[in-house]
Amino acid sequence: MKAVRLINISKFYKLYDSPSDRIKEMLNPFGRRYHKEFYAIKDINLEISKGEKVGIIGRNGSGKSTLLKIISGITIPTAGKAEVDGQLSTLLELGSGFNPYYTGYENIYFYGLVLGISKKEMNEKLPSILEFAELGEYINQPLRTYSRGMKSKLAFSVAISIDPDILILDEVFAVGDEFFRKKSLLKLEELWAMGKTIIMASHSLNNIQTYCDRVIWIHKGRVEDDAGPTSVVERYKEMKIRSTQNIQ
Amino acid sequence: MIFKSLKHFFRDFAENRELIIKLSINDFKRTYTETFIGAAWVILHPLLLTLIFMLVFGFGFRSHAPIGEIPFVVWLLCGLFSWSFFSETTTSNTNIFKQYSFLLKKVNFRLSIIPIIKVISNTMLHGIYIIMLFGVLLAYQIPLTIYSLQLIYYFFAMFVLLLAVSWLFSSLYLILPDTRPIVTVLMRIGFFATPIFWRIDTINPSYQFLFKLNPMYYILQGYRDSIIFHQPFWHDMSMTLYFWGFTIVTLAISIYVFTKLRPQMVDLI
Repeated sequence: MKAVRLINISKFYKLYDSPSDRIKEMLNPFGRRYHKEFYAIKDINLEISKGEKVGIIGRNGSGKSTLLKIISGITIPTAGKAEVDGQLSTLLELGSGFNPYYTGYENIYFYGLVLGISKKEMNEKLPSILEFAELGEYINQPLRTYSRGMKSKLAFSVAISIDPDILILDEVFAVGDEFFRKKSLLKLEELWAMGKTIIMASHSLNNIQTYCDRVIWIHKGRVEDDAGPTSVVERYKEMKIRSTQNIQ
Repeated sequence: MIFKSLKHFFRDFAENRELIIKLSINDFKRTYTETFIGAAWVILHPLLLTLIFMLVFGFGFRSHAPIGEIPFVVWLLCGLFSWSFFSETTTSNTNIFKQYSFLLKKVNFRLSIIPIIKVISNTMLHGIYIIMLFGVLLAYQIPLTIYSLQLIYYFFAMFVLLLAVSWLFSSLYLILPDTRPIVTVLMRIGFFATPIFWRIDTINPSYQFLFKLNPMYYILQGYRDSIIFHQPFWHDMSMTLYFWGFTIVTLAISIYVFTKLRPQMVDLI
């Protein structure tokens, strides 16, 4: 059973020197091009089975986040097809999908609403979300007053509460204090044990090695390596050492 | 292609109607109940505005002749309330994707339903204004007739027109930020070019058709026909056909533009 299937996925952005170039290109009767193409993702084929724990590594700007956004359906690929089977929960960066002007409490309900979860169901989930997020009285304050750590606590608590089949995490452990990180990792282990599909991008090779049974290394928008965690992480580390030597 | 995307669009609505309604109620609450006395403003603001107009045009300036046997202020409010609904919704919908960017950039969400949320949310406010208008009718002892039911038809017509322009402007805004000031200017021109405060028969008959090209003329006239003049909507078939022709062409263009831009929209927000 496949949870995610990517077929020949490419994503390029059209880069214009100025916004007016975009209009000029559209109106140009001779089809003159004003843009440069920038490939974030090029020709990726990927299959992820149900229950797999996949880690995604790669340098900044290598296309990790774009790949996760395509799997989540947020960004539409320029070419290729993405098939996803199962309820997704995506946690990209901080305060995913939260409105800074709503209170924490309102944001929880709004998020549920958007994902098609009824108010009744949300009411049932609320105590566990509040308990996990440890925000105390702050839950009634607008999100713009939250610190980065608080936002990510809330986002993480909501994302895991909706009981997804596939959980997509993008660098979620970069923030939050030591205690919360520990707690979240324990929670993730719980989800691991429940056989959920988990796809996580991270720069923490330790976490990747501990929690994933497959690692995909993305380099310049392509899959550089796709194998068990030890071999990929080793190769990645070697490359890192080589490139630092070059700098020296 | 247009027909296929049209079908796509309406299927989206049918599938998401519960979500659309809930998000609209949420939008309405957020927009109008943020202040200290909260929900009271939703009623108070339209009420005060109506009272001010009644004072100014009902008792103050007597220079405006009544329209037939109907006081000028009643005629004015029929036009003003429908125009404000149209212009405010169009203006706020132009940058609606930016307002909802917090959501669109992080969650997989049907973009096409975003503009409709604002239209429905503003409809609730429009409903309150219509109730105020009925209050004014009551104050002047003008009875509602069977023709008043046509308000539903004219409202529906305006609703479809609003959807068409909302999709068009909101998607154009993403590639052309100038859309916003252009829409503001258009609405400003519209305010004076639409017979809200003045009567179309004060214009030289050979130029009247120019003002009738404005689709909102049909709506304003319709609101007044329903409440004041007791005319059925089929009495001027050519205007009805023109309005629907205009609206359907605009709808087709906006759906074409929207569908064309959809793949890159999230990257543009």
